[in-house]
Amino acid sequence: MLVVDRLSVAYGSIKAVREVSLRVEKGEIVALLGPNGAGKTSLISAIVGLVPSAGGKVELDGTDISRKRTEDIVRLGATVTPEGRKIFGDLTVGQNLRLGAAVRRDRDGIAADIEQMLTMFPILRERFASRAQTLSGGEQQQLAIARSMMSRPKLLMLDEPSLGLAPRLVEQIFGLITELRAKGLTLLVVEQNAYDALALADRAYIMNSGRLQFSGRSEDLLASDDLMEHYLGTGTGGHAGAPG
Amino acid sequence: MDYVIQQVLNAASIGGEYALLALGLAIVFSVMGLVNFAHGEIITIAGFTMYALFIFASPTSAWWLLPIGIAAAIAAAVTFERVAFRPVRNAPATTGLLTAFGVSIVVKNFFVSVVGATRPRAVPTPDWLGSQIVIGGVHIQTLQLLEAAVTAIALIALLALLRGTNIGLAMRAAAKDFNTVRLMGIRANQVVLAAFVISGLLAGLAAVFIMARRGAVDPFMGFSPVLKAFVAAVLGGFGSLTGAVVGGLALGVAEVLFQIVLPDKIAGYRDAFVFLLVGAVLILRPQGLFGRKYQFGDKEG
Ligand SMILES: Nc1ncnc2c1ncn2[C@@H]1O[C@H](COP(=O)(O)OP(=O)(O)OP(=O)(O)O)[C@@H](O)[C@H]1O
Ligand SMILES: [Mg+2]
Repeated sequence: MLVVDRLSVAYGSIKAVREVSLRVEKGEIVALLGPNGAGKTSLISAIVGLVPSAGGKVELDGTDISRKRTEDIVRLGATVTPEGRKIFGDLTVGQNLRLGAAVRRDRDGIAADIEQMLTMFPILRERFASRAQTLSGGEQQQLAIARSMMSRPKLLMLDEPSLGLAPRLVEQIFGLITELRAKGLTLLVVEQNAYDALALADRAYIMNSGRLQFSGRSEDLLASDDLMEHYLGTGTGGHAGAPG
Repeated sequence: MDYVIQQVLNAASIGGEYALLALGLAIVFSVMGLVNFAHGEIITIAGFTMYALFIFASPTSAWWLLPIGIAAAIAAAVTFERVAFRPVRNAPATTGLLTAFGVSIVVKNFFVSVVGATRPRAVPTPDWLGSQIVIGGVHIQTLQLLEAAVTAIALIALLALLRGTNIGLAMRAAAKDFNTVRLMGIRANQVVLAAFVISGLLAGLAAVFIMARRGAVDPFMGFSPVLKAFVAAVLGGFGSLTGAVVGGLALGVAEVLFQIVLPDKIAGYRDAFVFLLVGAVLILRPQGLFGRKYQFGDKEG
């Protein structure tokens, strides 16, 4: 579904991503892990065209999207739920969802999808007419994911969906990710919460200082304390990215 | 009684004109961070288009000048965006500012040297605009009544657009975070275009009223009203739509009040007094009356 070939990102003289290649197959959940500043956000921003790439190629379902605008990439079915949620705080919950579906013209389908999101996230039904900035962090994260879903993406890239959430909410969000996959969505999940993300993902990529350091099956990573320690700095028994 | 109502209407019509112009500045600023110093030239272009229509097409009724003038204003705003501002959209804010200065100079000089319009040229307005009507025994100028009414309708329509349509919601969202709006698949170009269409339309409405009052065009006719609009926008809090409207109306009221209270001898310094008052307000509230940067229309409290 997504093929990234030697993609690089540079901000002036800072090379944030150096020739990273990865693939995500249809129906997969793939985790993208790595410490702060590894270049994860830069990589997915470049995939959807929010930052220009300094070389390399991105294909979505066989279409070269490297030079396309963000708007057009989203219309082709790939979107990002950005780091830090970025909900539209001045707008209501309902208006946020409506804007998520701005590219669609099927009124009935949009109404049905909003209903579905409100069933999946009951708190959003309760707060439907409230301004989104009055939601708690966890509620905003739910809104951000629901809003992304409103454009009916084929590939959803979640940038640190568990950031700043209480453990119970993290569990809920991760449960949701599995649910979304069951509905046919393909997911690329950026996380610092390595253990939880690996428990969920089929495969994982690990970045550090802009480079890809590891790629392989989640099981293999989880099964090997050496690998975990080496790439994620999380030794035996550690949890959720706490240094071992 | 007559006098009071006339003065209130006077303030509402002048203030309304400033509000229309200040709103156009505020919308463009909040959506794309551009301080459009060429806003006055939209008025000038609308004025000269009406003039050209009058000279070359000699329409049987001056009525026709109005929609054409407004259309010209929208076309001018959209052209500025397409030709001048789009190429520098992602450049630093000062680049946009300098570009706007450039556009302003180019347009002014076009009318001075190419059209050769160094002296004001007369343009007729429909007779009834200059007439008075009597409501409940009070004499009211048709033009002022119309100006106040059109401003009110434009504001209500704009509010409905910003609250009830996707493009309106997208403009408000883009004022905060353009990238996330694009992640919804909404085209940045369309959002920016909408901002310029609206700012052009509002400037066009103002231009029609300015023309009706002056009855003449000249290359610098946009300068003074837009200078006032800038003051109004800063007074209200630059980028705030509520602030633009309130700032515009407040400026209108202040002008009319000073006109009334200042003795004849110093009445010529009216604007100086108005600006002094605005300066005093800004010392107390440097961010303007409604200023929170990049804040849009309908925020609470
Ligand atoms: N807009 C920018 N301008 C300049 N440098 C940037 C910009 N965005 C990111 N960087 C730099 O690029 C590098 C990678 O940043 P990026 O945000 O992609 O990392 P990340 O892996 O997402 O980190 P985190 O886990 O903290 O979100 C960092 O060194 C960062 O300082
Ligand atoms: Mg990041």
